[in-house]
Amino acid sequence: MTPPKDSPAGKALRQSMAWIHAWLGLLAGWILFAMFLTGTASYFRPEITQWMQPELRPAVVPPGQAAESAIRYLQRTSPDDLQWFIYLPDDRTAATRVFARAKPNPDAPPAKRRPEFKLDPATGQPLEARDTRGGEHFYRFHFQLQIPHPWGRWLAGVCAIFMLAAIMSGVITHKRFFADFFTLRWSKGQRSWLDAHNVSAVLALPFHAMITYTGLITLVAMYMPWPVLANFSKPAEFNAQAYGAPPEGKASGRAAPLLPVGPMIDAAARTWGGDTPRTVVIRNPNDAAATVTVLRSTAGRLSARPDSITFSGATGERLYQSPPSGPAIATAGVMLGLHLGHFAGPVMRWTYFLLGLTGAAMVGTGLVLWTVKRRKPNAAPFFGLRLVERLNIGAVACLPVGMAAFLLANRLIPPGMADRAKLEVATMFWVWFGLAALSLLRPARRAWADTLALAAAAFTAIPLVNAMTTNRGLVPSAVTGDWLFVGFDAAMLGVAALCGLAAWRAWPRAAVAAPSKPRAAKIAQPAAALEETHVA
Amino acid sequence: MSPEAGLISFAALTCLAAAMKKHRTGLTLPAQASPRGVRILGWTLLALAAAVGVRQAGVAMGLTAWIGQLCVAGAILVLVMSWRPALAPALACLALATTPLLAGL
Repeated sequence: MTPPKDSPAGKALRQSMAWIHAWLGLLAGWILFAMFLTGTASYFRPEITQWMQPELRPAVVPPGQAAESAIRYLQRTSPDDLQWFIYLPDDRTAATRVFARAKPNPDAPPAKRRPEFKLDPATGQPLEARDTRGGEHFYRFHFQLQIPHPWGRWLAGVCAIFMLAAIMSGVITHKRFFADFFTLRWSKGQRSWLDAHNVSAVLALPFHAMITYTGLITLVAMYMPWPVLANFSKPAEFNAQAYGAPPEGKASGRAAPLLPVGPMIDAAARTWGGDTPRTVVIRNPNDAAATVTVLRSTAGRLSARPDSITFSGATGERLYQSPPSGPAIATAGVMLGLHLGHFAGPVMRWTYFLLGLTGAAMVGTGLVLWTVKRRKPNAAPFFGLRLVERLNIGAVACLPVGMAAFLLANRLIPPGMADRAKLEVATMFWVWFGLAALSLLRPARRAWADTLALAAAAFTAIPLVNAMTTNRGLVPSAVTGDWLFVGFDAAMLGVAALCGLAAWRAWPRAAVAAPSKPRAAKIAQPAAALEETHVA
Repeated sequence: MSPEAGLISFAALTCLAAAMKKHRTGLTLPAQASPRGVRILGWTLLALAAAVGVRQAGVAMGLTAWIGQLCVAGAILVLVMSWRPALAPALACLALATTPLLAGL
């Protein structure tokens, strides 16, 4: 399609949209870049957690056996609890996770929430491993931004709305949407940045639009609580009506032995066409009114809303089965599922990962483009330009170093140290913001190259430190066929290579760089942009 | 979910790029391939990729996988074309050739 000749009205519309696009994108851009990068990493949340607890290598057992062994443990340690939550292992998580809630004691203040712990699926024995937030840290940061509740989620929501508006205004602004569909020209200054921004945005537009919109919808009940408030006296009533309500009976006080859950799990799997259960929730164990609720795994299905079946723990009778979702609830479940990507197998997970990187590239190139467009040759940059440039370095180049530092800290902080999980998280932010502050000492152009080179070095160090501090380095893992650890180390080297290429492109050169081999536009590559003026 | 839909999409997008005047010179094509011919071939392959995805994984999953893999294929194609344009048609042929092999496994 050739761009149509602009009418004056069309031109005015484009100009106003370009203005909105530039400013919305700039204001939200730094946070959006961090949300994109940490969100992209979160597609591998269970894998990151496994990598961060290298001492755990439990045997793989069927879900029924894992549930039985966990129940044996809970019967020994806390048979009188109100509820047991048992998260069964699957092909991405090796350990059984267990969380138990005590009966509320009316005479005592509410007890502190007990920590979740991990059990060996085969034996039911507690697993001892280093304390870490694991992949959960990137996942939580992605939408809570390490800011106290609810402000982090609100800020993330505002940024997502800006992003949605930037996507729409960007599409309207983009005159040569189809003519430049495949166009990427290197080493041509501003032209190259615009090309990189355009192709990373246009080619993955379905993903960008989907991920932004579904991200907002995920928290829509928080951002827009009024429809529920206007129609229901309590949110619980809305939930019960929308999603169905499994029975939550009170304990009868009459003791009754808890039946084995294995047959219940098998019965549920038969109902679900062979799909395995993911979670088992046991309420009032060892009581005549005990219930066993089995939740279906959402792997392999788009909707992230799990079906559930509730059995009587004393008689084994089927008490409740979640009704088939209506169109509205099914739509909400699919939107959440599309965002989280839990349905994805390995190929789709890597597809999501690459699309997420494309999103980060879109935001990063957009941020750099803002500065490149406003820089005048032979004129000192004005204050706003220098500020944006510095914030760009801090967000685009320093965050990856912080993320690498989080993973390195996991290997370098002694396993038994108190509060080590918090220390790992603190390391990420100290390194991220500390490096951003330190980079102020260097001219902007050098700061880009230095911080990107540091990112490359930090990611290269991860497999090395892993090999030195654990017995699960790249070589032993490849020999034993431990593909998760091989994949993780290889991915770190891949990221290091991308950062290295970016640093190489950004390296200040005396003369205008000779046209060189083009690079992946993953992370901002300021070389081309900074050729015109040297910012000192 | 397997990568066949993405591999076919890569070939489809290469054809569509080859149908455009500005990319035609860079991509070395057989002399008799007319812009119209490659454009029709491109759209046909694109539809085929969607059909393969749907056949493998059903409408919902298949279309999701197809769109996702199509986007990644486009990004890779643009990077290849900006680096070594002549490599793109060769890779497209390779992608098409591996598809039946993967499907056969």
